[in-house]
This record gives sequence, structure tokens and C-alpha cells, in this order.
Amino acid sequence: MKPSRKNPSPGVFSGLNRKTFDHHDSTGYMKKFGKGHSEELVRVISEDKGEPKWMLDLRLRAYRHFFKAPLPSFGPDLSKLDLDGICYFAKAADKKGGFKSWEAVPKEIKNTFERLGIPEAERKILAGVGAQYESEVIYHKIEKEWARQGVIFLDMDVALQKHPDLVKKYFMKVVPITDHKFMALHGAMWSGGTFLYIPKGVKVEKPLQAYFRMNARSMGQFEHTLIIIDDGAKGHYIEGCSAPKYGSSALHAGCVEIYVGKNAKLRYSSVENWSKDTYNLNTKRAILSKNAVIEWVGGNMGSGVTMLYPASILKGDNAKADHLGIAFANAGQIQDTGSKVFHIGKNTSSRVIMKSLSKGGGQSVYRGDLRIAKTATNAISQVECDALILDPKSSSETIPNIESANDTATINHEARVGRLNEEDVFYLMSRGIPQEEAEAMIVNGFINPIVRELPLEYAVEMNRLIQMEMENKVA
Amino acid sequence: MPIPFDILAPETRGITLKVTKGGYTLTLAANRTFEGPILIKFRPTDKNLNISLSVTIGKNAKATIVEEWPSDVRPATINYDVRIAANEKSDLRWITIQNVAKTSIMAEKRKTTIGNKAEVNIYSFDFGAKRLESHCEQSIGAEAECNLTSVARTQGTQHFDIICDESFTGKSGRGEIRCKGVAQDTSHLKFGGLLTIEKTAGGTQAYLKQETLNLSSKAKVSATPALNIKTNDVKAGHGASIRNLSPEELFYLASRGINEKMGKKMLTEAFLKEVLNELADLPDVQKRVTSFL
Repeated sequence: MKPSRKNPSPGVFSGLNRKTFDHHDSTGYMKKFGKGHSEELVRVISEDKGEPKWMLDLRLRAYRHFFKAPLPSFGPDLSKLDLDGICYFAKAADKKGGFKSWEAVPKEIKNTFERLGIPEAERKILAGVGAQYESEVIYHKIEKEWARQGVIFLDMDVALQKHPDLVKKYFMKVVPITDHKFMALHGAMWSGGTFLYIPKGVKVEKPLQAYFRMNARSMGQFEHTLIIIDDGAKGHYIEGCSAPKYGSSALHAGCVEIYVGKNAKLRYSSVENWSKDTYNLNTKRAILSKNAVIEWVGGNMGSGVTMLYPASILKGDNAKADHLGIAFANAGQIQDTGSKVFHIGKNTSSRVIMKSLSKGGGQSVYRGDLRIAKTATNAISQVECDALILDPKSSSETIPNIESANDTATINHEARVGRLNEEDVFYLMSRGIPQEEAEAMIVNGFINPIVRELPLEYAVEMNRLIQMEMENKVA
Repeated sequence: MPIPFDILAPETRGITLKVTKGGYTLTLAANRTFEGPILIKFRPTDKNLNISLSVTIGKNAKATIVEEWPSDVRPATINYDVRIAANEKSDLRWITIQNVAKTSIMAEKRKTTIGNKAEVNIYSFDFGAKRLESHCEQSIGAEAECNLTSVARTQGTQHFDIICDESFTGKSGRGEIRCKGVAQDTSHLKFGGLLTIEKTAGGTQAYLKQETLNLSSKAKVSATPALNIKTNDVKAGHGASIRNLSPEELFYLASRGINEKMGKKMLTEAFLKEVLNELADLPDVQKRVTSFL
């Protein structure tokens, strides 16, 4: 049978379960790596990677700024995050640039990625894949067809060695090291990540994926993703991440910088499923040239505390941004997510659709920032936030900020909060559908406008993750 | 210091004004329906004002209070703190018409407590002051209802920062906050607002809406409509829009022989005056507000 949305391919991500994510491999390699941060560690990381001097200087500037920058004045309480208890740099397999094939990857690590479905996804649906384990990428590959057309898809550490000028031109320019405390820490400690360059006019029809996995207790992961889509090019990048749960804080402070050239288009999809003891303090930002398009499609299911607000800077005229997101806050979780859009060019447009679910005492927060500059003549923006609160213990907050300095702008914002509609559930039950199934159908319908934007296999993964979160409520 | 306002009412029985150490206390007796509006009219002055007013509406009482700040109130600074307590099952309509001199800096705090099963409807029209900081907070009890409408227009270099918050603590409360604003010239107009529904407030229905017309390329407007919902048995939402007048509407009027300038004036007035239809029984208030438009 041909795979369809109703009957997807049985492989890849349909078999994911809680054990897959909570499984952890042996962590003997951690004996070599200590906890806590220091200038010495910054120098060790840079030296280990054989970096040029400018990068070491950037790291040291960032590290100094880290001490000056305060914790965020908004959002969840971060006082319990013990930054001295985090391991900032660890390698499970000491192989610069990663292994050439999955066969060469150490068996235990390979099995972890097999369970997560990554090699199979590479074989079936992806144009290229990168896999990071702790602080370093262990595998990175792109199909020859795309490499021949000049597409560069590399481990960020390797990209710095092979394309230093390109990296220097763009690295931490959209997100500067002074952006906030955790970007300063990222600038100092970054390791691994992905570098993607799609040359002028090349349209990569299949998605490229990077998967980030933390394995050891109290790890910190600081991967840096730099994506450059040149004029007239097109691409789809997918990011996935997970970690096992230990009961002690882990930290993810990654950074994604995206440049979308004239008439170019990028879809950036992410399915985030860090363990419930992870602080996910990630920063993602894109800058768009004339007629450029970016589509952010994201699902935040994991982490204890998430603070993530993908941002689009619509600098060029006619640039367009779509932000589509789902956040699921279960017991003990705070999903403080949202979007930021800055309209600078003429005739720029943006659309934000966010869906949140809260359950078991979880807190979901939509935090938005929409700004229309004086120069953004005829800017149009539409924001819709819907929240479902699944029990009386849970909560939802919506905190948008809208500012306009242009009288030709049209901005609309709508938000709705409520519970599952009893009449809808009753209607379905009166047609013979059991209550739990009826509730699940309504939840699926609620998130469907976002999920349907993902490639089929990833839509299945997202639905599976939501289903896992809904267990004990609706199966 | 003389009392900075006059109280005018068709019937004074049941209305008590006391001067206390901390300010002024106005009490409306319980179980009475006060016919006609009770007017609190601020007196002309150039002297800085620091006013604290406490208003209590007795249980089962029904009244309309109109508070008027005319343009001959022209001190450099006005600090106004008003606390309103609408007791159980009372029914209050509170209307503020603020048009103080455009040289004054005004800070207003209005805190309203709405008792169980009470109903309060607040209308606030702000046109005056060089700089206005207005913070209105409503705390709503069980089965009570509170609707707040804030209408503001900024011109010249006026700078308004208007925050309207509502919190629901009792079961089955109802409430709507509606803000309508027009920004012209080089003015700044900012609407903030937060609806909070506490864990104890199951069955609440609440909505917050902020609509702003930005009519000038040099004006700045912003909207921050926030929700904080702590239980699931609610229907809550918010909406915000920032736009200019619709070219289609202007074209329609132009096709009927109405020039652009007149068309803009008509549409702007219609946008702001929409809420006045709800005050049809108060023609003096309608006339007063219309005169400022």
C-alpha cells in the first residue's frame, strides 16, 4: 500500500515510544570531562578544534560578556539552573568531522540513532543528514547529487576549517554574542551543529535533517546552526532533538542563524523532545532579503523549561514569514514559546499560528513581539494563538507585544483559550465513538493545521509524540 | 484645601461625601436606585492635584456616576487615585470624560472591586493631558459582571499609556474589556491589558479587545493584550488590531461625493462614537463626548 497521511509508512518514526527517548548508553567517556565553566575550558575547546584566532577571540569576548549579562527579566524562573553543575564539552567518539558511514559509527551510538529512526529517514526521504551526540557531530552526509550542485552541508566544526571566510562573514551576526546571557555562554562554549549553504538558484527538493542527542547526565549542548540560502535558492531543513531523563538539570543553549537571499525560500521544521529535566534556552533568528520567504514549523513537546521565540527580520521588500508552532506543557513543564517578527521592508507580510496544550499542571505561555518599522509601508501581519487547557490544574498565558510606527500597516491578533468542548465530545460519543477516542480526535483536529505542514513521516512523529504526552488522558 | 470637585445629583438623599485624612469618601446607600446620573465635576484649577477618592456603592444599589475633567483643569501634574467598591448585587455605571488641559501630566489609578452578583459597566473617554498614564484594575467576584470600554484619541505630541486589567476570582464571572483608540500627528498611544482568571474562577467568560486606528505616518501605537488563565473551565480570548482607515470605505464615500478629508473625519468619528449608542439614556454625556471629537 502506498503511504498516505492516513496510512503512513510503517517505518521511520511510527514506532517511537518513551523508552526510545529515555534509553541512555553507557557514559564511561564522561570520566575525561569535568563540570563547570572557565576561561581555560573555552581555550581548551578552541584548541581541540584547531580554530583560527578570530574564533578564539570571539569565544573569549563572549565569555567575558556572559558575566556581565543578567538573567532574563521575564519568563520562567531560572534560579534553579546550576550552571556550575553542567558539563559543557564532552566527546563520546573522538573522531574529527564524524564517521564516513553509519557502519563506522560505534555500535552503541549507532543503535541509539537507529532507534530514533535517523539512518532509515536518511535512506528514504532525506537529501542529507547530520547527527550530533553530546558536543560533537558523529555523522554528516549529503547526497552526491546535491553536493555536485554546490550545496554545502557540513558539521559546523568542519565548515569552520573548510570555509573559514564564509563562516567568519556570517557567524553570530544575526544573533550577536551580546544578545542575552545564554547567547554569550553559547558564543563561548559552542560546539558542533550544522552549516548549510545552498547556492544561487539551486532548489533542494528533499529535506535535510540534523538530529541532536544528549546522552550523559547534566550535559550542556551548544550546537551552532548557520544556514545560508543564496538568491533564488530553496531548501527545507529539519531539526530533531532528544535526551534521556536523569533527574538532574541539563542545558540546551543552541543558536540558529539563517540568511535567506533574494527570491529564496527556506522551510525550517523542528521537533523538539528534550527530556523533562532539560532547560531548553534556544535562540533562532532569520534575516530575509527582498522577496524572500521563511516558514518556521515547530513542535515543542519536551524540556522542563523552554524559552524559545524564533524570530524573523523582514529586511527586504516583499519578504514574508510564516510561524507555525505547537507547544505541549505536561506535568512539571513550562513551555514559554512564541515568535518575534520585525517588519522593515515595504510590503512585508507575516502570519503566526500557535497552538498550545496544557495538561497535568503544565504551563504554556505564548510570548510574541511584533514590530512594524517606519519604513515598512503596507506591512501586513496576522497572529492567531489558540490554547487548550486539558484539566483544572494547568494554565495558559498569552503575552503579545505589538508596536507599529507606520500608518499603512494592518495588524490583527486573535487568541482563544478554553477546554475541550463538551458538546463536541458528546456529539462524537453519540455516534458511538468512545470518550477517550473522541477527545483524541478533537486534540488531533486542534493541532492539525500545524502538523499537516510537516512532511508525512515527521507529521507521524509529531502525532506520536503528542499521543505519548496525552497518555493517561486520551490515548 | 477646598474640595477639588462638585457633586451634582438630581436627588442627594442617600449620597454621603466625607473628607478624611487620606482623601474623600463617597458613599451611596444600599438598596436604593439613584435616578439620573450623579456628576462629579472637577473644578478649574492651576494648582497641582493629588486626589484620593474612595467610592462605595451599597448592596443592591443602582446608580450612574459621571466623572468629568474639563479643559479648565490645567495643573502641571495630576495624581488621581480612585477606589470603587461595588457591593453585592449592586449595579453601577461609571463614566469618565477626561479632557484636562493638553499641558498637564496626569497619572490615574482606578481600582474597582465588584462584589458577588454585582454588575459594573465602566466607560472611559480620554482626550486631554499632554501625558496620560492610566491604570484601571477590576477585581470581579462570583457571578459578577464587569465591562470596561476605554476610548482614547491622541493628537499633536500627546502621549497616552492606558492599561486595563481584569482579574476573576469567583465562579462564573463575566467581563469584557474593549479599547478603541485613534492616534494622529506625532502622538503615541499605547494600550496594555491583562485578563487573569484564577483557579477558583471556573465558569468564567472574558474577552479583551484593543482596536487602534493609526492615522499618521509620524504617530506610534502599540497594543499588549495579555491573558493569564489558571483553570480550564473558561472561555477567554483577546484580539488586537492596528490599522488605518480602509481605502474601500473611503472610496465608497468618495463615490457618493464626499471628499477624502470629510470621509476620513466621518469614518474616524464613527469608529469612536460607536460606543456612545450604548449611552442613549444619557444625551448630555453623548453631547459632551461628541463635542470633543
